[in-house]
Amino acid sequence: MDLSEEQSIADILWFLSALFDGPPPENIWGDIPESVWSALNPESTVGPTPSQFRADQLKDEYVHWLLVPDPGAKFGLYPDPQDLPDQHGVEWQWEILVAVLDVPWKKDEFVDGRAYPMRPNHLSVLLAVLAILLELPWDRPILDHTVDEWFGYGLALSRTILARLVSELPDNSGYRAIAASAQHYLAGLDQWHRLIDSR
Amino acid sequence: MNTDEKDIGISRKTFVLGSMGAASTLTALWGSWPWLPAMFHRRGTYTYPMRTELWKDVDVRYSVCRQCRSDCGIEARVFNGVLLKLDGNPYHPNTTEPQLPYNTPVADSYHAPIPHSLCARGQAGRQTVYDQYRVLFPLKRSGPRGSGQWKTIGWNQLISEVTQGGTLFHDVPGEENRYVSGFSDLWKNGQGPNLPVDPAHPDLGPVTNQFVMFWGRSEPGQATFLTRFASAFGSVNALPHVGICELNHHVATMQSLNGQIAMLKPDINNAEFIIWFGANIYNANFPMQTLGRKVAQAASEGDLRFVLVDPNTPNSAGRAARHVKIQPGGDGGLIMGMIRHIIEHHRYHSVFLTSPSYQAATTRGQSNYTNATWLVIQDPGHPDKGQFLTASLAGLLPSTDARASHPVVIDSATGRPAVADDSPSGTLWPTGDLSTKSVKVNGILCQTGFQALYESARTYSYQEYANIAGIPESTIHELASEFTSHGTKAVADFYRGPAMHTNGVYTGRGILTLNFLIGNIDQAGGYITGGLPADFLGNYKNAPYKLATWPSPHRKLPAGVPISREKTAYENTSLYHDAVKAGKNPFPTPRPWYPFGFGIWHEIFAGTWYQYPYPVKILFQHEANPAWSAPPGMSGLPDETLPWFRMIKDLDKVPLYIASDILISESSRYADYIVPDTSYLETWGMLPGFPTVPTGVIGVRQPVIEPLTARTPTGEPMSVEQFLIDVAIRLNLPGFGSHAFHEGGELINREQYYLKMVANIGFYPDYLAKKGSQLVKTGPVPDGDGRYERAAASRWKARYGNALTGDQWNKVGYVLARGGRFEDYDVSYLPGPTPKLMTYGYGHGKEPCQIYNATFAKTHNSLTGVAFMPVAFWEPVKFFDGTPLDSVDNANKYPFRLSTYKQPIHSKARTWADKWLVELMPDAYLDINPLDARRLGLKSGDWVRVASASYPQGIDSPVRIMPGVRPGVVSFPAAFGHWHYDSGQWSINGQIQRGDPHLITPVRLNALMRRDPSLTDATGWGTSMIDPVGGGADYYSTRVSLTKIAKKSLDPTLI
Repeated sequence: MDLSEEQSIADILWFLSALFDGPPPENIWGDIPESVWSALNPESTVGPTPSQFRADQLKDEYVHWLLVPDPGAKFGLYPDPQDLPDQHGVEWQWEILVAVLDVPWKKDEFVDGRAYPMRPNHLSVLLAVLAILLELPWDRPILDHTVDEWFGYGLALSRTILARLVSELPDNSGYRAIAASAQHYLAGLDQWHRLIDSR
Repeated sequence: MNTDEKDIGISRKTFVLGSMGAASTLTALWGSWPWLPAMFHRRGTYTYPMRTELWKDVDVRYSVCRQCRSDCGIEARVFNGVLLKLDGNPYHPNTTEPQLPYNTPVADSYHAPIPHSLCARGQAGRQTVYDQYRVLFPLKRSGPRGSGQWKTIGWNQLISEVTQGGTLFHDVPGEENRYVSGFSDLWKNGQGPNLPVDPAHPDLGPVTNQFVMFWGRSEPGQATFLTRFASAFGSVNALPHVGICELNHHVATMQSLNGQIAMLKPDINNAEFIIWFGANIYNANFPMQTLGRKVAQAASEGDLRFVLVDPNTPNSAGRAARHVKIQPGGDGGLIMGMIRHIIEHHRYHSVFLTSPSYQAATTRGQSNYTNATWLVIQDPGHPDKGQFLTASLAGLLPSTDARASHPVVIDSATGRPAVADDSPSGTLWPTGDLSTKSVKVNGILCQTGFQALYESARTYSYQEYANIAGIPESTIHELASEFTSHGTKAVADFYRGPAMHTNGVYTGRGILTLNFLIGNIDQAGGYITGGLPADFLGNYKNAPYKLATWPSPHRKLPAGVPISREKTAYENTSLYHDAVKAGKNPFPTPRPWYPFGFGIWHEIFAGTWYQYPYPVKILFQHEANPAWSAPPGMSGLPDETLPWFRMIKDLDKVPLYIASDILISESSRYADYIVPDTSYLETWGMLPGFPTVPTGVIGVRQPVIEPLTARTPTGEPMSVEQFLIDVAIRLNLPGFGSHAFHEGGELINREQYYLKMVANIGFYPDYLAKKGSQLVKTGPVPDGDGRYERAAASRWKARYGNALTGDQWNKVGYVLARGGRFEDYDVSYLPGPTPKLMTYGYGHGKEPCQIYNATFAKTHNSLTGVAFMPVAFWEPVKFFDGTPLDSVDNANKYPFRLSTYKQPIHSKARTWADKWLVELMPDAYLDINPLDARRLGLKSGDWVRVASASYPQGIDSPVRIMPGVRPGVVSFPAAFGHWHYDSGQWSINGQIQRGDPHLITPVRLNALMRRDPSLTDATGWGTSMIDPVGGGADYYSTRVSLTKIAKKSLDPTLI
């Protein structure tokens, strides 16, 4: 299947979203070729790549470090209040944006070992919503902002969370490696997005 | 590389090609990966509406607010399960005047062209539900109590551990072998309710009373549920927070009426003159916005003039005719001076006051009556001194007569004693006008209740009363004169300000007496009871569900005495009688008893600390934050030397501490377990109206969104109710599980209970409607067969279909779709050309207005043994042992009185989670009068150290120059000074969590408030000053000193 630029990026974002929604099952993790990671983070020269970690290790890490969904956590998957790029109501508006986009981010039930997002600024939701936004016209207005502006907002939030994860998670951890790859990929995405803006 | 690409650090080509390559690899794997996020739609179509109100498919759900206790109806707009916006419910009279007629089609209400407002804190409530720091899973402490160390546990583990008990904290150093009693240790397979907690005193109740539940906020409906659990378990300890709120107001009102009605309010729409004592109009009170709206309208467009009596300046001062900046604790001086003036100048309503019975009153055109003319035994040696003379004691009827105990008056016409029921008019002055000399009846010296009142009123001169109140004497006379110049269209109303002193009940009795003197009860423009709510418990004929009781085996023991010794007369206990029998002085008791008060937090904690009258085993806290909020002097700072912290950290006195909460607050931080609870937008309640609204009101709070809390193994949202239900099922408590209701049916989730309450509301037959010139009963609501009514019912029916029967769902849909059940606006007054009498009134009960309360005369301060005053009275602020505060705390050392007040943007602890409100005013200040500020060399923004005798180390605060505060008084708003409410630091599963440091802002000065040395033990553990009659805590009497200190930063991250 031929994918457009945006669709390709969206699929990567879905993939990353899933990784922060919960640890990958063992039988799937082994299927992911190293080439995916090198594509996400081609300039990585330090530290292990995610594929060097076993699925059971990732599961332990996720449950112990990332599952408890309290914001403010050292390894939390939500933005801290001070992370919010613009406090003029935009933080709340993200909730409404997600409602408008009909993203059913709330889960019907709590599944042991997987995220149970209480707000749609959980990293897994942020990444998924970015993927959804990629499929919309950039200049489409939603709630007093364009899709382009919303994308920039969500991207900034996601990068903030990832930066904290990379900074705080132990160097030899699998989820740090995943976060580092995601961080690098989103840095590239940010520049790609700014290039779109400048056209 | 093109020009564009030069500007970025990563090659666009590299990025795009990498993405496409990786995506194609992933796409190949995609279909076999069920793990990938099925939770999201992919590549669908979306809608982009721009205005919430106009969005298609937005659900409108009516419910009830809980941002304060006004219980306003709310209109929640929900889209795709997300709460977008909160406004007022146009059917609800709190938010809309006149409210929509109840039979207005629901679809029309969505576009109602009338203001249906909600206050700022109400609108901000969605930030509470989406607060990012909410607790969604059960937490168990993994370190010492208060260490902030937590681990997550599963629901079943939570239920099992608290039920079974054991060495629950064996992994915590120092607690390896500490056995913790669980519910089953008290329940004892159902025998606990039959085993006395003290075999020598079985009237204290069973061992199950050692389960103590208290709450900060839980209103009718939910509180009814919590009490059902406690009662089924065999505990009387289901206790609200009233003692730190306005308890003395309620006790004064109840003990001036029939012991049940706790609040009256002015009929603002028709009143001509109102004096508000410490009621904080526009800022607070019940309902805040309803009162504010009515007062603003009546004062600007109608005939209302009003006076504020308050050492602070509420926002309503802008419209007030007069503002009397009273000396805190001195309200009683003004009131008793006014009473004296009214009596001595004969400006009282003599027809009203001389009617000795309901029959006599109605014959003379009055709607109710008083006991002012009833004779009271004053013979010093008589065993019934202070009690009403009875017909048999007066020799009017034999003791075997059915009316032998009825009161006696001196009949005005004959001048002879008569049974009150038989006299058309009694005399107030049997020994001459303004004479307090006793009259002898059947050899017994007696006074009328009115004489006793006058004797009390003339204890002090007008000038002395003026000095007590800190006002000119002329103010007393002027206010008394104007108050008595509007017939029955004047009202004296009050709330916390004058009441929450140690003399609060007596002061409140004085305010009620002012109203009795002009006969304004139940009158249009007078002091009114408000409408009756529909009965959700089903205590009416043919109610679908009788929810007040449930199938339960007979229990052998009395329910017993609450840990706070409230609602219990010590003189009626075996403790008292045993002491008397043994020839011992029954006074003092180890801690006070409170026959009139209820919900006395400080005595819950004192009972726990003193283990009196029995030790506590399980302390259960629901939506409460006593570490921050109160009682005065016992908490309010992160200082673990303060009494509340000492108590809660004592593992012997509090072996098990469970908190249900929506986040880890200053208090739940100390819990052993935190039960994740639903916020008010995710739960239920049945909320009656306040007397401010004269028609029948019952708002129904229903979840407007799906609860965010995690699900239990049975699929129910975790909540306080589900916790109690699952504990009850585990123990096999009556009233839960299968066969939970008299009508049959199970109770395994909360909806099975609350929906039955809604059914009772729907079938309630006694609401009124105006038909022509008549008021007629409406009967039950119609069947809700419209689209929105069906939707309102099916939302619950789909999941909880067995909660109700088929026809009941139709009524329930009608009620839920409107957010409750409300009488129409035109039911307020009895039909007539002009409003004269309220439709609902106190007089309907045919009980007297109590100028004289004989029960007070035989009830004692259980420390001193001194009987309470039966009439309005002024006494100085005292410690419980009778020592005047000012004789101990020197005015030179502590020259200021500390006061506090509410703002309209906050209420108690919870609204601090709403960042919109925090943004409005992030920091608080100590307000100081400019005269005092100049004397101390202070200007706004300077800092002072505020110290008191109870907290001499002091608390630092910025100051704000505020002309509205009385000189000699300093005051602070009540909502600030949090240190662990969406802020602070804790750990879960070993990982550090941090709240928002910007939320730690000054200032809260409750820790300074005076503790009572006569209620303090040898270790220094003590409680606040307390009104011995009502039990309410004293918030406004503390003397403090101010010392200027160097300025501090207001940026909490820099402090």
